[in-house]
Amino acid sequence: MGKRVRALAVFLLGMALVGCSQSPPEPITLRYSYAWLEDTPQIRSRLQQFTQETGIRVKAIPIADASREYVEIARKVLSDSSGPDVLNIDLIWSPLLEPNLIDLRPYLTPEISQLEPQLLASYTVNGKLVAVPFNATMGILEYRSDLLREYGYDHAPRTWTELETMADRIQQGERAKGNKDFWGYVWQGSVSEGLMCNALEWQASAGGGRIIEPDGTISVNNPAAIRAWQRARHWIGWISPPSVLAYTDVDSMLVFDAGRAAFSRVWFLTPITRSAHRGQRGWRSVRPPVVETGFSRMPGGVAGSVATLGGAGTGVSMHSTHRQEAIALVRFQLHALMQVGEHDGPALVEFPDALTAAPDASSTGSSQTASLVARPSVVAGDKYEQASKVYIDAVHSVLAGQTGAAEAAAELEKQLVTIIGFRTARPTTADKTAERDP
Amino acid sequence: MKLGDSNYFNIGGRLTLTLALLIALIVIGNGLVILQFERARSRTDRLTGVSQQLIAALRLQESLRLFHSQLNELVQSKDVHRFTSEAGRLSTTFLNQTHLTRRTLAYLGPEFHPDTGFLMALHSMEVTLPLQLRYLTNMATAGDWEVARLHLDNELNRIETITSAQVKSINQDLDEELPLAVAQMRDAQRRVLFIVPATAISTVFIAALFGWAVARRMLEQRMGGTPG
Repeated sequence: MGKRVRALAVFLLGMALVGCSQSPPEPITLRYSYAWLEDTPQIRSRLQQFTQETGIRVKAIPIADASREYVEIARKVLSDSSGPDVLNIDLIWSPLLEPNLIDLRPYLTPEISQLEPQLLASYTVNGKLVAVPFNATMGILEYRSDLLREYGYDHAPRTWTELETMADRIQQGERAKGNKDFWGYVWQGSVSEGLMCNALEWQASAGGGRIIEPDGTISVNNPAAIRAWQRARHWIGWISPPSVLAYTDVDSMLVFDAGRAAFSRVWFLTPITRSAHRGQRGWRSVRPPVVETGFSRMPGGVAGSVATLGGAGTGVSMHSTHRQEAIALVRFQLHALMQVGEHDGPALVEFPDALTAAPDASSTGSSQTASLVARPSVVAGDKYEQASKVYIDAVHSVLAGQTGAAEAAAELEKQLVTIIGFRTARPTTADKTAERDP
Repeated sequence: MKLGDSNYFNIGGRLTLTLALLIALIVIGNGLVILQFERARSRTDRLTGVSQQLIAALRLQESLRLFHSQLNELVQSKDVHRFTSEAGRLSTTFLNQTHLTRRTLAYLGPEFHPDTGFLMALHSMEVTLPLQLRYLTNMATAGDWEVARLHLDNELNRIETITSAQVKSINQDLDEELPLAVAQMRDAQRRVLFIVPATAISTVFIAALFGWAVARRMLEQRMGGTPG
């Protein structure tokens, strides 16, 4: 009887095993979200290489990349584990997305030591490194080198005044040839982060401060900033089209690439490592134009030439169920980016004096320096979204002629004090500006 | 022997064990069959979910194409009044379609997880389209129709590309899901074909044994109780 019972038990066990056995587990798939403009063959190829080397699959999820809208989408999808495991974020949104991203510092220590410190600072929130650079960009001036030669200019404009003169002359000449829709200078004037970057460059180069200084003081309501806004207002309808107030990054580029403008402010890719920075090279982020172009630092004022720092970083979601694999992907990609020095750009050009404070004798004989300025996202923390919104609205209302520059600056200062709670201050360079500007 | 007698149900230790085994076998066998059906149901639900999602994505893609084409027509007309009055209506119609798509995904039940990329593409459209329309309206108001056309083509092509990529991705999911579902069905069928006869044969065998043992015990008791 004992044997029979044992045989029966074995039979029952076998039946249960046949009935309950599971299919083999599916391979891990990471979800990686990034901006549509970053969806290049290079990134796809890197992801494929990562899968080949590790066996971890990566599902690429490109989404719309208008900066403000991206953060809204990112906040929604990062709230639980159904969102992406890895995602690219604009450097200005680090403080806002910090609660939903892990600290990468403990996992990427050797790599971090090779990265450009100024970039890392933009991704560091309360000592937590929420992302590592995916790319770095800076605002520069793109110009029609064929037209500059044709109109007798042997260099790109070094000051805003020079830009106005050259843009006006080329515009008049081109219109006289029958190109009625030709404009001197196109830039990003829509209510977006693009306008924030442009206005910061105008204001800072004029000595009007950097909106919120690193020491926590607010500097917007000063004569230099007001004059910088008034100058830009004057361009509209003169050297810039009235519709420039609706232009995004892509619009100004499309207009320029169509041969309808002499100068354009564009974003320029720049290396992310310390060593490559010393090489000072850059790349245009979008396909090269059909027209013959050159690149130069942004025109400057009394405080020199100023370029806004931009770019995106890669972070790992706090809610990712495949954290180690996600970190492996970030490390793999960072290695690849550091090794190739971002030779992914379609239009490699040498760009001296890109980031360093290099002296440059302008045609007027005054000494100028080129400096890179970050938007005050880290110092403003999670208030940056509100702060940048009121700043952009104020500048846009001045440009649209709805408000006077002085009135808008005073109101903006009040709003920023209320939002951020910092004290106001007059930038030290503003006094010098007032003395030297006519 | 009466029904109230405590020995009325006493069939001995071995027979009780055999009865328990018989009941266990029937319960386990049926449980395993139900498990196979449950797994097959789960897989078919997933397959249905992906198919429904693909249909929703294709509908959305078609609506987006229509929206692009109608908006393009408005830009080509270079009529500011017409543009400002009709663009908003087109946008509302399209956004209604995105809400409908969301509802379709919600109907698929809490067990079905919609494609993350598709959800993000939906978010993307809902957030960026009103903004794009505002830019276009501003350009139209400024009379810069050429830039409005370039902007429209660039932005809408971009959104269409993202949507197409998502449709492709969902289609790929369906392509992967279909053979898995077929394999799971075959697997379940194979298991059921093993479990049902095995349970039936072993149940009959044990029941026969049990019946024979009970009959023998009854016979023994009767024989033992009758004078020879």
